[in-house]
Amino acid sequence: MVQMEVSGVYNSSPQSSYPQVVLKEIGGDAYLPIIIGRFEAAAISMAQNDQTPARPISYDLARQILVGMESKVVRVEITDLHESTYYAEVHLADGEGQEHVLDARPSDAIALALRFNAPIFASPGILEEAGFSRTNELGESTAAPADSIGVEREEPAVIEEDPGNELEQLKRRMQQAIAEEVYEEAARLRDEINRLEDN
Amino acid sequence: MANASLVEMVVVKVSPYLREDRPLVWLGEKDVDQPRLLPIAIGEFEAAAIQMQLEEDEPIRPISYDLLSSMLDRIQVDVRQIIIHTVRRSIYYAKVVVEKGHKIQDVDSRPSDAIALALRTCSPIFVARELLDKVGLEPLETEVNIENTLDRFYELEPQISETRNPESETAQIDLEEGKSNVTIPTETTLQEVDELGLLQAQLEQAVLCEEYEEAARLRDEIELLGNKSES
Repeated sequence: MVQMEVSGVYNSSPQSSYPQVVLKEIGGDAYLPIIIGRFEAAAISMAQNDQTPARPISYDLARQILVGMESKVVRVEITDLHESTYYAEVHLADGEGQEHVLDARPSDAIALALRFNAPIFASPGILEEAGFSRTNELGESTAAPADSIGVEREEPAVIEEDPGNELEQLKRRMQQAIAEEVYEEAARLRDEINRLEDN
Repeated sequence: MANASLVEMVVVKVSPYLREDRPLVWLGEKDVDQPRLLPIAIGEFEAAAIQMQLEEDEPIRPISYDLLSSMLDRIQVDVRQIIIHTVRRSIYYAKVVVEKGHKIQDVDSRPSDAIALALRTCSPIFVARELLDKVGLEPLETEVNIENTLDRFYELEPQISETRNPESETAQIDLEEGKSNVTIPTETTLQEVDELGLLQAQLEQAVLCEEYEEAARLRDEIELLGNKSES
């Protein structure tokens, strides 16, 4: 893992009308641009510039709750780039010293990391695939090629189900019961599903 | 949890573009015959996050509230309730009450973040009775009255917005206060927030939280109401 810092947040780029956050290798020359949402860009930018909002925004709320419960974000990692979507992990330490790893979008992970002064890492593979350097190619370009910039996706997913699985079958029947407003049946199926999932 | 000073509310809907392009989230009093309403103006991002949850649209990737809710789940922190408790100088204040073991804590929050989180953690939403008595909309108010009183509710949450200056990299705080231009909305948004609409919203949220016994009860109540209006 390569340790990164936030180099800047840009409102738009030649490649996209969406903002991007650019991460820079600490003590190195690798840059990683990630296209993110406007709200998340503003949230990162504010934390980077030590600005405090008049009222807490969602990340501040998250920080307050976690700190109050003796927990903190200890590191975040940009782990994967898959079909133009970046994936990240948030590493959370609880009061008992146990570490939990959570799936996150890079923007949320970075916005949280800045509020906890937690280090940000990127996998070397991603830097190779989507990163760029200011000195290579005779310093010709400081921008990454358009097609290499990953984005964060927010569209609804199509959930694929395994038809043979008993649990999935129960879940489908429960959805069916809900659709038909037979909630007594849905309640029964819910309990059955919970029993199966607990085992 | 019965508490005389708090009133339980249900999220009725988000109306996106009623006025000034600012979304409103509508809360309605839960389980009463003549529910009072409380609209709160919120940011677009927060409105989308609430709407997404109401419609059971699962984002392909977790958004910030999903991440927060799964973090709390992992460290075994319960969101016990959220309370919208104060309005001061056109700003609503809320708190999120979290609990771990015997430890209970109040955390200051904007109403939108608190509501978006409560919908994900299936936690009850309360408004201080004093606040609702003061600013809640009566269900029997005519639409004209409501239009006039709506201004009181166009009380904005401070929120971050994108910078308007494309050269600048820094974000700015967008804290507008006291909208004075009254434009009468042409949409009949308010008509949908009636008793039936409220029951349906409650039903959707009960289903969302897998409370099917409650859903069955609400289904019967909706049916009864439908029969009554037919006869």
